[in-house]
Amino acid sequence: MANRKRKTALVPFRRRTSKRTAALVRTVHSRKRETAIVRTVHSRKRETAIVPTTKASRGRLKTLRSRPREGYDDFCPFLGLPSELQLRILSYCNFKTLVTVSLVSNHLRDISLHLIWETQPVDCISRNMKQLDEHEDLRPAVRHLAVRKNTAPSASRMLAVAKRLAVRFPKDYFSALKEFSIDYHGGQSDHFIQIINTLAKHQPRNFKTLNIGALYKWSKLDDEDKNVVDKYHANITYPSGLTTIRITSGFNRRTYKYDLTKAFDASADTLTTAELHIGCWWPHLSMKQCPKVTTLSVRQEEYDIPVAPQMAIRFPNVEKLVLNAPRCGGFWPPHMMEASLERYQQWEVMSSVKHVTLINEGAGMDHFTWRDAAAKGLKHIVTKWVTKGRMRNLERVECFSDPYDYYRERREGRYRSFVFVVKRDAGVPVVKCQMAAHLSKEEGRRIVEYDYDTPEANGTGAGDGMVLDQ
Amino acid sequence: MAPMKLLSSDNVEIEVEKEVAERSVLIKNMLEDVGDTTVGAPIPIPNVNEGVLRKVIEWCEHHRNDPPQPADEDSDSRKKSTDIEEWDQKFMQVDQEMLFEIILAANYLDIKPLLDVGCKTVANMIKGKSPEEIRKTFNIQNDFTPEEEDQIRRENEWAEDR
Repeated sequence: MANRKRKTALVPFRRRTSKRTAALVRTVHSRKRETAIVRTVHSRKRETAIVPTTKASRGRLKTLRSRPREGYDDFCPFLGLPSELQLRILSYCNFKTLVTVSLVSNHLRDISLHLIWETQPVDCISRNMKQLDEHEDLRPAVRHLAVRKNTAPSASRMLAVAKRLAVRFPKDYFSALKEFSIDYHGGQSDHFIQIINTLAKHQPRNFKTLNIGALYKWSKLDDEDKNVVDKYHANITYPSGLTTIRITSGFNRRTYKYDLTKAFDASADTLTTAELHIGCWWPHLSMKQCPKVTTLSVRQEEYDIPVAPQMAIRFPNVEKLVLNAPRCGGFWPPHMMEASLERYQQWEVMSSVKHVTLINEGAGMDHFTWRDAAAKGLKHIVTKWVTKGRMRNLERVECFSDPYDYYRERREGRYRSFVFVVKRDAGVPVVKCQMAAHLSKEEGRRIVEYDYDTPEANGTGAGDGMVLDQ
Repeated sequence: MAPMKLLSSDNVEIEVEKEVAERSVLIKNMLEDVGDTTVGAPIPIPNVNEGVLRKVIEWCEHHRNDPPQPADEDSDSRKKSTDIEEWDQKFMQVDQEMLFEIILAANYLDIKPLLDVGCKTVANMIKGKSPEEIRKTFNIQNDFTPEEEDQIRRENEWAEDR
């Protein structure tokens, strides 16, 4: 929490040269003075901090700097590169490296901080907004705006954020915005409405992703005021034409004042990726279909009420299902295991799904002696999905032992715990379990296929399995 | 494939197969523009000297059969990975001056895959180093005052600890 707060402190110091930079960029636009600028850039190292602002100026700068450079600095070849190449090199660096680079020199600080603004979510705190007020060239660098619970933890702060955004959005501060994240607390519903309405009214052209985190305090619908849902719905206009919407709420058996799923409705014709982490489904939640959604991420705890039937109606054409199921496949006493697994079997209604990613935080996935039991439990679910359920198109289920592995795998292409492959023999689906195993020093790590149907699969061993060619 | 000639900035003619030379978008476009009117005449490459041009041609010869790069070359996936093929890693084991000359030549000749390899190599040289080590590696002068440096360091502490 503290980190995030301090992260923003990185920003203000950056712009010591920015007025000069802005002046240089403005001057570059004037063709008559190009030669003078080149001379300045080459003769004074500290004044090379031209950060391209718009596409047009970037193009102009590229032309300008791609000319033969007479004053090439042999002494320091990196700084002798044109700025667009320096930017290109630093674009391969991660956030932490960029922060280190920002400590090297004034020039590198200017370039790296521009990239940091581009790649990191910018918190809507007053300090950052003042930076944007002062430095026009930074505004196009903002790709992701965020209202976080640690920087807007109270109603008054949320109100301040709403005011800040209401002033700046109409002035086209966020023309390059692609993503907006908001952590919403029930106590600040009016401000939430104001922020979302501002966003919808002044929606940037490239804005495609909305993330809403509704926390545990998401207000309940009081018994004596049953119409409150309709009253609030009438006041919210969600942005339209989005491709990705993520809505996350804590587990809460109480009904909600808002139907945040209405955010999906506003982009029903364009939405391709939806994420809805919700503990149960209430009758007043919208059931409007989003036919273009092909990737759906959901979360179901062992004790949650399954929302699968509603999801199947709301998102009828999902091909990739990411199911966060923390206890699924984990360890339970045998008499409980069957009952728990039944809950996850309800996802069999997702008839168009071809690929399931199952994220499991439970024990047993990696532990050698528990691995077989976990795999058998998971195979039990997958088999029911394809044989007794409607998942006739299912081809593959990838299981991860925890969410971190899942995100790491997406980056690096590994750390998968189990893979279940559905093979069809004369139309009859057969589920095989594949997992990586160390065979020997010579053979190394290979993929081994187990069927988990043989007697040896009982208890601690799954038999020898069949080694597959990778 | 018919051979053709490139003329380096220091007036050295280098013979190269057309297919190899056409890894450079600049040369490819040039050849398309002039057609057969200048057959046999060397193509001047005024910004690249012989040593660098030979090095670039060596890379193009090795990668002559590579599939074309995807159109969205600025996509996030390109930026995330700094993995470099083993051959390219060895190819880029040159002194810094040559490395940056190759990057400049790749940019000028518009050979994006080579430019990417060069930029990734430099990015890998930066990664994991302290600011002082980066200054030392690239011979960059520290132009922060001690007070500025202290202030920046305090502000960045949170990120360094991550």
